[in-house]
Amino acid sequence: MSIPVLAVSLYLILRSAFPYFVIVQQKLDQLNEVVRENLTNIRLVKSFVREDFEIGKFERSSEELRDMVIRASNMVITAFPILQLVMNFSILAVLWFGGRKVINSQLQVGELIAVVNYLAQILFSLMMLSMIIMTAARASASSERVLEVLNKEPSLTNTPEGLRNTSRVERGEVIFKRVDFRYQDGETDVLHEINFEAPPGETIAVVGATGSAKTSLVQLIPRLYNVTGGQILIDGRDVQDYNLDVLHQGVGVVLQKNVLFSGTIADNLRWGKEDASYEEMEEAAQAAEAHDFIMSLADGYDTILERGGSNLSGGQKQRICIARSLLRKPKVLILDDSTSAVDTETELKIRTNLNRMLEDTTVFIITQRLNTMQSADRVMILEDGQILALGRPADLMETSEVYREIYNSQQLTV
Amino acid sequence: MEQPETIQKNIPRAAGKMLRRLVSYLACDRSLLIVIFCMIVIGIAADLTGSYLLRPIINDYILPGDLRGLVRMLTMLSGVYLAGVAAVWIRSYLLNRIAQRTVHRMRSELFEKIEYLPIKYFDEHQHRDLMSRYTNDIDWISDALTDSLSDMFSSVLTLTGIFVLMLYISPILTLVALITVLVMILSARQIVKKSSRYFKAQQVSLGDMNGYIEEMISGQKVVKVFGHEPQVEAGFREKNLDLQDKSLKAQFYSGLMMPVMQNLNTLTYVFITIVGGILAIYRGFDIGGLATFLQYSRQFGRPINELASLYNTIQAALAGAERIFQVMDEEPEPADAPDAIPIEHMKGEVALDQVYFSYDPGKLILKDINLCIPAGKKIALVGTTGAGKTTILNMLPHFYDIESGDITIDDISLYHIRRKSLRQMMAIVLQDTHLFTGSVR
Repeated sequence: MSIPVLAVSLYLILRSAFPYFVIVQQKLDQLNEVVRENLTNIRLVKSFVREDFEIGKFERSSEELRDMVIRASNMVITAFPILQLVMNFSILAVLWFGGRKVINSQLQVGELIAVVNYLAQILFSLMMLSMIIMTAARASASSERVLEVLNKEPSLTNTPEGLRNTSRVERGEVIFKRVDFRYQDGETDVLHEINFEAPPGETIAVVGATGSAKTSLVQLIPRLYNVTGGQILIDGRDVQDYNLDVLHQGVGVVLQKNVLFSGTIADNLRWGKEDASYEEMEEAAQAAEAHDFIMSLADGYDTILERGGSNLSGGQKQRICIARSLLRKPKVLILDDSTSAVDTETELKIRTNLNRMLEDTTVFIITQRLNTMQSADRVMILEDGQILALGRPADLMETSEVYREIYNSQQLTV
Repeated sequence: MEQPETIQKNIPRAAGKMLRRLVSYLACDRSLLIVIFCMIVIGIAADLTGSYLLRPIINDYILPGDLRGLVRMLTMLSGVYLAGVAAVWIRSYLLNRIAQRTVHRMRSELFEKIEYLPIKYFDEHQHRDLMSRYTNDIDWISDALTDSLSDMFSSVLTLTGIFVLMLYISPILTLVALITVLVMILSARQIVKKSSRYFKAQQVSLGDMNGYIEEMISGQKVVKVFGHEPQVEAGFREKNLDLQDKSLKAQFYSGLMMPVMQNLNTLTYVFITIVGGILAIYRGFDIGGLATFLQYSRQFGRPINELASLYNTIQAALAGAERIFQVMDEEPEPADAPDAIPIEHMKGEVALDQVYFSYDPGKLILKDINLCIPAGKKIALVGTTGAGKTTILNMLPHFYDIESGDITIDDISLYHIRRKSLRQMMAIVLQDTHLFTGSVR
């Protein structure tokens, strides 16, 4: 009789506590976010003398978390007292009814004692159960979140066509046909009606004001995102029809943010080619003008990178990232502002090397620098997600006012 | 990365001090603690009394057949039970509050400390490591402070209470019980030794795996671009399996505790019944007493169990506390020089005079820099990578101390200006752009 009472009350407790634990997790996330932001950007905080402000922010977040946890736990700690109460009254009932039976000689004293002992045993087990219930309440909130991630269907997988296909990227011809693109939660198109054809081996400089979707455009080529309208063709085949591994082998990308992983420089370079020999790595590093500074380090290519490369300067990291991509010997190479932290002289050397090494490679290079634009085969100017102009630098000087503006703004005023 | 063995060696030495330091965080809620103390005492008293009442109930009311008396006793018993339950409830409620408040205090203190640490600290320490101190370490501590301390206290109290009562009922039976208790304690120690070793290994493995996850997820575009998903997955699988292995072993040994203790407890029960039965038959030992004694022998299994498994929780908490106190004990950004002044207006004349600076002692980055920049001028810093451009800029807001030379603004040495007021006069745009979560404002 006591068991159903117990079961019902435990169930009710769990039910009511659950939503609170979900909120607790969210608050915990918030708190961790504040901490992480501050740790990563401590210089920013100090420069703007915002330490006290951030401390206040943290305090508030922490207080909210504390109060939530207290509320959620308050629900759950009722479980054990309820349990105890039910058990105790069970014992009372047994003593009463059993006692009467013993008095009426219907029951042996020993049996009564045994039953009381059994009850005590059950109490012990149920206590364990209540502890599990408490942990389950917390766990269920967390498991919801984990399941959410696991149940998400990845959209960037091989299409059935891609699974079957094993053909490689041979020539590196890139064609955009009426390409539209918007981000998943975006309200408007970030790219609209993009049409162009890049023959194999051409170098196209992609320029435009910040926010003109240059990065979005080039990231569509290796399918870091899927187009929402239109088609991208490489060597005449839709990128979605390529096997993703093959696609990434043929399309190399040096991203704007230079991410290096823990391990040695050689380990990081081998991301480009697993079994790269030292000669191959040196060759790529030479082209990226990284070899010299690598050799100047005590352990050379075996230097261990700490914290994603914090013992290297921004420009050095960029050059290693370039070398990493070069090891792939891709047919299409995308450089997203990849030499921003490198000085002009070194950048010129890198470009010269690349031109020599990658004569047959189609290169898209996002840049702000006039020199880079001038030495490209063609320049593409993007504005508000559309192609404003596309042509040879010399031609654009005559036909495009925007290009002329860029030219003038970057000329040295004597 | 600390090795489990070094942690093991350090713990005994500093344990007492650290425990006291941890407990000092509870001191703010001193009055609440006293109430909790009382509640625990009441709870245990009610528990033990409830069991003890079995003796008179059986002896004086059931056996002789006094029904009305029985009703009276049962009513008294229910009163005792209610008191016990209420005490437990209040205790849990208060304990919960205190624990959360303490953890909040610790978190805030840690954060405050971190905000004022010198930039050098962040150069030298991985921030993912600091993050884990926030999450994992504080978690362990919060568990320890709540459940463990109060459990430890109530376990000890319960054991003492039971022991006294057992002696009162029957010294002979107590002796029998003690023998088995000794066996229980010895086996508990053995098990705990094994399990704590694996628990430490588990923590290390967990930290390693978390670091890997954070790295790979924040760099996921690169992973995708190089098609490195299989390798990353393989790397993760390796760490996952390692964690699984350590966790299994840790859980196995700690899981061993319960069945072993239970069985020993049951054995105790058997021996007591045998000896008690003999005593009852030949020495007129009262049945009620035997029933109560048996009840008690069941009850002391739990506290011993708890005390043994507490060892692991407390160890983990101490390890966590050590790491947190490490950060808290770091030197903050040195205070401004005693004669440092705030400045109201800055004309902006900057001069560097024979400045030498190195991030790591011995590796000079800036060598004999001499600059004189009049107010209002725009200066472009050019140079090859690694030449020291960002470094010079880092000097101006007094993020670091230079080795020799001086930097002056408006002819006042940087080091005689209060840092806060100095930085408020400057605006800096860093190389890595970042915006904080929140509105634009």
